[in-house]
Amino acid sequence: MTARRDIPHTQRAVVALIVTAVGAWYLARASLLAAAHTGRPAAPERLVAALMGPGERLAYRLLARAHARALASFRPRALAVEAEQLAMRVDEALRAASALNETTQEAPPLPEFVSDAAALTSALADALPATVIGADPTGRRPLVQLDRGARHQVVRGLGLVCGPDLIGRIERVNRSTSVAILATDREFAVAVRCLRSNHYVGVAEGDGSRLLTVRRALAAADAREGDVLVTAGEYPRIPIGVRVGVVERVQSVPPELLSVDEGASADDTQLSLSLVVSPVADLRRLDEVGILGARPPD
Amino acid sequence: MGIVTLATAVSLALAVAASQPALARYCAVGWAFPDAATVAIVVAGLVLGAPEGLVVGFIVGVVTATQCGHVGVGGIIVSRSAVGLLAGLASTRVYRANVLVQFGAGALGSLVADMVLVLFSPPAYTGEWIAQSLGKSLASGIIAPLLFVIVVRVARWETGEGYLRPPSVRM
Repeated sequence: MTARRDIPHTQRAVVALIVTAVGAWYLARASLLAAAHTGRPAAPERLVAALMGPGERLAYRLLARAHARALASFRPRALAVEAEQLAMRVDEALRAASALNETTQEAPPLPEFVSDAAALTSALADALPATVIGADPTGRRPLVQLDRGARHQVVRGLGLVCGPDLIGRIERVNRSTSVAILATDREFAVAVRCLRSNHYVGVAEGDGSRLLTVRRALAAADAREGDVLVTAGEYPRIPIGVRVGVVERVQSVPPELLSVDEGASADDTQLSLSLVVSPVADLRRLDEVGILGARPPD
Repeated sequence: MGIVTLATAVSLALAVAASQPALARYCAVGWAFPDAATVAIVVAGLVLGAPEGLVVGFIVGVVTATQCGHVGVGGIIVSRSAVGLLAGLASTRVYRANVLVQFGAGALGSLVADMVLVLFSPPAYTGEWIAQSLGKSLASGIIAPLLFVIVVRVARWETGEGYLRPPSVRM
């Protein structure tokens, strides 16, 4: 066979790539529309994901086993350190849960706060356990793949927790797996309040890397470095009071740096605050997580 | 190329695409991990030709899209399809039996996929993206000869020494 490199073949290659691009665009648009209306991907994606799901879970089991054996053989100390850190994280989660209980008991007797604690405890206890079986295959975004999907009653928008910490949100649900974006993803946003002052702070958004930011924090919230921020309960699928992160830095933003859309005016002399928030959970070492609000299978 | 080689290349690409999230989790050194799914597309394109490379790239792109969020689905499919097509068009110009060529093809394929994806979905931090892409391309180049060996041995078994002749670019 001889290669033919004349122009008509190149033109056909370009046409094929354009047709593929248009097809990909329609598939992407259908995916977004289907997700917005039904909470699940479009039918072609569901079919492909259903076929590939068992393979992904098998690949996770094989690679996890190989990883554990390699660590045990070549870095036994690293394995021991990892086990110690896991035990410390479990202890820390238990201490945080009991501290939250004590804080709610010492807080002013606001009915909504007392009911928040009861609902939060119940929601965390009822979280569907899930295993992280993979990361973003393109490496571009802070995503995790979970071994729970539609057949485990998981739906789009459910919160993801690691112990008492909110770490993300379910973004895509396949038949036996699902994909969750982590709290540091640019598409993640959650309303937060300060645990110390019990005042609404603003909306915490992921920066796409390792932190969250509250770009326009209310000064009345009196948020300071070291304050714990918890969810403010504006989302029906994420309960009130789940820990989001700790304020790492408080920055003042002059009003002239705010856009008109953000409410800045020429007469505004008060400074606005911007908070840099660090997640408490280690998002690079997630193994077992919980899905809030998923009904357990019968 | 014969039907067995085609089936092997497609099966290998699907198996590697299914394993890619676990590879990204367990085989990462810092930010770098081997983009084995893209390397499998490059292998399919170089061994089988442009049309097959485009189709394998599209299939792997759809599989990869189901492993990501809803944002950027189109860009993932287009980037993988483009890599398959370009690898197929380059199959008449490269000596595929050379290990260094296989390393370079795997590294370059991973880099091209990232660059095309950036056009659809710009990264949050450019410096981090550059470091990660370079690390990924190096890791992908390292594993490329392994995937080439699998497909090329099947091709050699099926067609004899004729597998070294470049495939036709009939579209």
